[in-house]
Amino acid sequence: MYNRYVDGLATWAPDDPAAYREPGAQLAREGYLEST
Amino acid sequence: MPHISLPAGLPGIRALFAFRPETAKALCELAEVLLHAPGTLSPAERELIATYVSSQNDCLYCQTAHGAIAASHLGGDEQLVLDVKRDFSHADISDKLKALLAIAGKVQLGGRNVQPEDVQHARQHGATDQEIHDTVLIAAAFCMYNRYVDGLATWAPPDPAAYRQRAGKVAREGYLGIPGDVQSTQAGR
Repeated sequence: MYNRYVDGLATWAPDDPAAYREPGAQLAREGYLEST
Repeated sequence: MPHISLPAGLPGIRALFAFRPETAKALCELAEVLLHAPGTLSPAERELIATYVSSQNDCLYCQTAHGAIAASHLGGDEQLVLDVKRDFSHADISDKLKALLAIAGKVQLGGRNVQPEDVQHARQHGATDQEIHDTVLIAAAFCMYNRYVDGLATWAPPDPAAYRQRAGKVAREGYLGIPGDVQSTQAGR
């Protein structure tokens, strides 16, 4: 579902994997309920 | 026969809701926002999108259950639901809904299949950005519900008549009461 939602609306994805590290670490620490 | 031990007598996703109430709550809240809460697309239009995607995914339970809910919103017009599933381009629905169903069909194949011209076509027939957004999310979400229901081999009643009574209740009352319904059904056994 999430895959089709994200790509079906052609959202922007950063090219650089480094851009995902800090948001990923925050989600890993704090979970998904405060992710906005 | 289901792949895991599910409560007997509950069909399709209802058995899964009884099995795992924590996920049932989130899944029913999502269905309520997408299909039943007030919106500029009617509940019938949104249920038809859900039914069409479920039919493209060959999910018997979801296409029959949501087809019955769509028909209930349409005053019992089961033929229109069949027409949309068979060939929506010739069904008696608006050009806007046809354009949104075309987007939903692309999402069912995979999100990257949606082309700018598909979205442009929907806009030309009056679809708003929120309606395009909700169409993509309904289609994406039903790809999830369909895989959830069939990936665990839940039981689907073969007779469409078995879906009508619950469909009327869901059409009237929405999705938020379903987790409680399945818990009380299970407790009554």
